[in-house]
Amino acid sequence: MRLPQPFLSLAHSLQQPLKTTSGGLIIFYSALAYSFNLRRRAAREVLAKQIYFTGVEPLFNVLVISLLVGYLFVLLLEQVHQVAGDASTRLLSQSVVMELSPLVCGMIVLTRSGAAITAEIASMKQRGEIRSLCLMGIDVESYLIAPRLFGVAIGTMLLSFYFTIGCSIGGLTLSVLLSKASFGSFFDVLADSLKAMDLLYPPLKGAITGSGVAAIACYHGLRVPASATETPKAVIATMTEGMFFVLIANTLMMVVLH
Amino acid sequence: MIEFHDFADPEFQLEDAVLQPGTENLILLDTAEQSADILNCLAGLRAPARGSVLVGGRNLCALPREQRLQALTTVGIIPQDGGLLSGLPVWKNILLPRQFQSKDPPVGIDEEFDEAVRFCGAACDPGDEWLRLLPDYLSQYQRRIAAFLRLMLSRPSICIYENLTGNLPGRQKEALLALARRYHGQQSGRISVYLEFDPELLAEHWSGTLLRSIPRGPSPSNPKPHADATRLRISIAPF
Repeated sequence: MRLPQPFLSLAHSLQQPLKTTSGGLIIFYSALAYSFNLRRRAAREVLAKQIYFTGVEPLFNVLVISLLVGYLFVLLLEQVHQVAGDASTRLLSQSVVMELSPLVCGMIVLTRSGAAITAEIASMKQRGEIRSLCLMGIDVESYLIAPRLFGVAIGTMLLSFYFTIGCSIGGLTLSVLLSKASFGSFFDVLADSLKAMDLLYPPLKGAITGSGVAAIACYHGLRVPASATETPKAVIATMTEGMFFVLIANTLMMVVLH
Repeated sequence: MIEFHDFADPEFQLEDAVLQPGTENLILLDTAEQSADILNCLAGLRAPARGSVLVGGRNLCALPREQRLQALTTVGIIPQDGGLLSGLPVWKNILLPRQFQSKDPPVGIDEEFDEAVRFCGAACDPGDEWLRLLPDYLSQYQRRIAAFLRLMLSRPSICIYENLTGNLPGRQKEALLALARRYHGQQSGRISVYLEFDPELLAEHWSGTLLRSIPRGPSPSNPKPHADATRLRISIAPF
């Protein structure tokens, strides 16, 4: 029996996302399975570099973006929706700090580290460097995959933390300027609206988002064929599928964790 | 000891041969793809289409992954063009295999490195400027010298060189080959295998064991692998 055309088209369009999901899960599992090799000196160096590139190098950019986001959010609430004072501070903590920061950080990591990882691994593969590693007795999972996955996860946690701080400072500063109240009173409201566990929530979401982005990036880098023209296609695939992943993962985590 | 038993790939085959400890062996092939195929089989990255390759009495391809990787640490391999990682400076490339094997900085690595550079002598560039560069800034010759230093630091009992002298001008080719042969003589029982597709090397320099690839012939399971296949003989004899 032949299925109707719309079903076939749907099945066809789902093929690639399903392949990426299974490939990404395999990469994720390999990284976990070989994480014990992170004690090796060469792997530790790659891990440290990845944490630096993902979590430390974009510090200034992320702080500026987070200050602006916090500032714009409070401005929007107070000027357009006429929500001011304590209410806007609570909304800031519940929506921007808790939900938006891991999402925005996931997007930043995707565009910076995701693209870089795919392009680097694809280039290594095309130049025969992956084969060269195997010939030296160095397994790709331990040297390339696990340090990148853990490095991006830790880096995204750091970014979420900066973003949370930056957003809070930006939003509170504007609230203080608009209402002429003291910074301390708004800070008290912000602190009251957040539980201790809530402080772990953005970094946890960041870590899950970051490791997923790294797994997708490694998957597309490793499966690139020999031709150099395939690298841009692999980077585009990482970008589009990574974007879906960041959005879906953050939505699911929001539903499950709340 | 390296053993080829009924070794065949889709395009070519080798007659059975045993490469004994202490010998230098040239496997002369028709193309770069053939040398890459043999190297992949020797390193256990894949199985040959037919037959088997045993390295130190073990079929690396059939070993569990961890054991295969461990076995490869005693085999020094210089892939075509050196196989350096383009993202690491030359000195990090040289130390990479040793650093990957240990948690802490390898003991005595600095002395070993200095000794390796001294061994290379005039073949190595003076000074350490070139060691700080990325491999893409080096000449083909320098890249292979760096790969040779990397091989020396892993203290292998089996050395495999894939197209070591390819695309190099005459004097550099001679210098590199002389270096590899001097290194071979430094330790008794070391096996050196040169995978080459440059017949000039054979004519000008070779005096060790020679194996030649031959177009793939019929086997009992597959009597007609290629329409034009003819079974040729390989010679294993001092040149």
